Amino acid sequence: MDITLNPADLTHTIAFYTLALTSIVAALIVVTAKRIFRAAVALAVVLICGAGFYILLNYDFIAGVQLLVYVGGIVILIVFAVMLTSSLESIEEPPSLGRKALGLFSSLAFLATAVIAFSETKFPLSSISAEQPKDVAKAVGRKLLDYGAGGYVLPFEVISLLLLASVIGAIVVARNPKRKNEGSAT
Amino acid sequence: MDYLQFALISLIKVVTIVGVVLTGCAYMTYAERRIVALFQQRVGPNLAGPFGLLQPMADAIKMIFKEDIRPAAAEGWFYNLAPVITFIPALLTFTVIPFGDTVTVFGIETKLILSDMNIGVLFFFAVTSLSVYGILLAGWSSGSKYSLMGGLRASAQMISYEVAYGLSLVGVLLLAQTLSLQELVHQQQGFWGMYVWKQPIGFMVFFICAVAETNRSPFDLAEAESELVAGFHTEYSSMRFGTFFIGEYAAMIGVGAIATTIFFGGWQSPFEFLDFIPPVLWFAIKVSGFMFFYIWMRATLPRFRYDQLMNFGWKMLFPIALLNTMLTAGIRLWLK
Amino acid sequence: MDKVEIYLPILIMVAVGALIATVLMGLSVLIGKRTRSKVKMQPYECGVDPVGDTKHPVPVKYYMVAILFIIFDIEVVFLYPWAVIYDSLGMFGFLEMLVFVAILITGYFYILGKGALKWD
Repeated sequence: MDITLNPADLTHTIAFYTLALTSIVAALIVVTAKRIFRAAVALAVVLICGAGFYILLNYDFIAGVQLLVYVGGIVILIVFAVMLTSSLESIEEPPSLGRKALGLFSSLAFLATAVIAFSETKFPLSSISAEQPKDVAKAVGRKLLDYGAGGYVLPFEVISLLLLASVIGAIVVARNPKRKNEGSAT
Repeated sequence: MDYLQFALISLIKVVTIVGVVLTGCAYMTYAERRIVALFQQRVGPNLAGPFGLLQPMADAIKMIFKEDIRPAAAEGWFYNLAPVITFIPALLTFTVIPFGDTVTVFGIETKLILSDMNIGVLFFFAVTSLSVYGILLAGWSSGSKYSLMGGLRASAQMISYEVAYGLSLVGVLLLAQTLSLQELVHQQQGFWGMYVWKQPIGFMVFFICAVAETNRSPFDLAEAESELVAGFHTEYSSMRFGTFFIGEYAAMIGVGAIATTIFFGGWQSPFEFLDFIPPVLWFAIKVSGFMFFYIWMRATLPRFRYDQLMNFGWKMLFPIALLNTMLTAGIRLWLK
Repeated sequence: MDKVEIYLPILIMVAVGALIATVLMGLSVLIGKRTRSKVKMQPYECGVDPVGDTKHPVPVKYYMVAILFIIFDIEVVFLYPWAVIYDSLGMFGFLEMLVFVAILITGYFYILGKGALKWD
């Protein structure tokens, strides 16, 4: 699996392990933090590390998108969503024993699935690193939009439908006319 | 070139740029006070040094000597972190801005751009979207109602205008076919080659959004003093407040620099007979123009109301930017 | 292009920025005079004793705005790679994006119709 990770390139290796370590520590903070805002900030760090990995893989455009959409968007959305339901100050109450057991079971199941999936899949990384595109933005555009050169035109159009569905879903879920005036002072 | 030498050169460049930007911030505050004073038929600060030119230094020293208050309700770590997080994205913009072409200093050939990446435009937006964090963190960690409301408002405002902000540049990208800022500058030869003439609507939307993104008047609702005291930095005092302040001004200069690079030909001289002026100076002149415009707007326009602000962003700028994009694409196709 | 050449200056910039901000703030912590009092440490509320706390749920509007932002931000992100290869796509590229944008515009008008962007 370490084909893209050229062992001769020390900088690359150091960068990889720094990012990996940071993201693991931050991920641990995400799940253990008692205050939700702390967890959100730690999540932002994890996602920034993700962008770092994309950069190591030479996909700088994807790294930019990761920062723009995930770090600058999704985490903010999570923060707003948390503030909407309770408040940022809220400290999570310790869950009951039954929920703990359920959580343990489901997370173990997910871990097992992930491990099996990762070990069963052959990642064709070598072929990707062999033909590194010069301008990633253009390469991504070609893959998405050019129907001639093996582009994914139909999935691209379906994305817009997916986004449309999420717009409608968001409105339906979030707009409850009965609670219209709550907190209108802000 | 080996890494060590490169790192050293980069460090020198970074320190130079940061120095120039910080000085720019300091004199921006001076210029702002003097120019706004002129607009209002006042004198403005004129006592510290000749024409009051030492006023920024006096302000900085004063701010350092002020008491550093950390409210009891503040969330320690994050409270300290928030100004730093606001400061860094503001400076990061300058890493992708070209200040000139390649130059040779002391026999070493170096580019007058810190990081000549081919996704410069996207990097700029990614960094802009990160600046929400500082404000949200400050608002939340202060433990004050005004701070929280100010932080919320500011972040909602920033993300609302970010969409039109991103869209306004697609028109230029359609014409330029590149995301690299240095290449964008190279494409804009001469006065009529500037992209502002080909993308006037895009530029206007871009600049309005930029003002909103930097929380400047008339979009300075985050710190509408009549209702929110000072918004997200209500609880910050002394140099902590100063750091927010510098961050805000650095972000303004950064926006001016990006607008210059994308729409006004960056460091290129617009007229051939003025070619003797060095590129870096051209760049500075163009950015100063934007800075003056910022001040002019502040002196002229009243503040928006919050619902007006949101409506303007979502119901005016966003559709206009989208229409501009599709129109540009259509015309481009038709002309070909 | 070499990654180090592109991203090392950015890391240096982050380090220098963090250093300057920390030093500036540290200076006033060290030099600034201090008089502590309980009242001074209270949250600022125009000189009156603070009423209540910050633990209030915020209006749903902010959440709506964040959702809209993400959806249209993703749209913009898709427009970027489209724009940089537009010349080589031709008519097909234009129609493709027209369909994409048209579907999202439907969502936009749906939102407007539902009044989700009404701030009153």
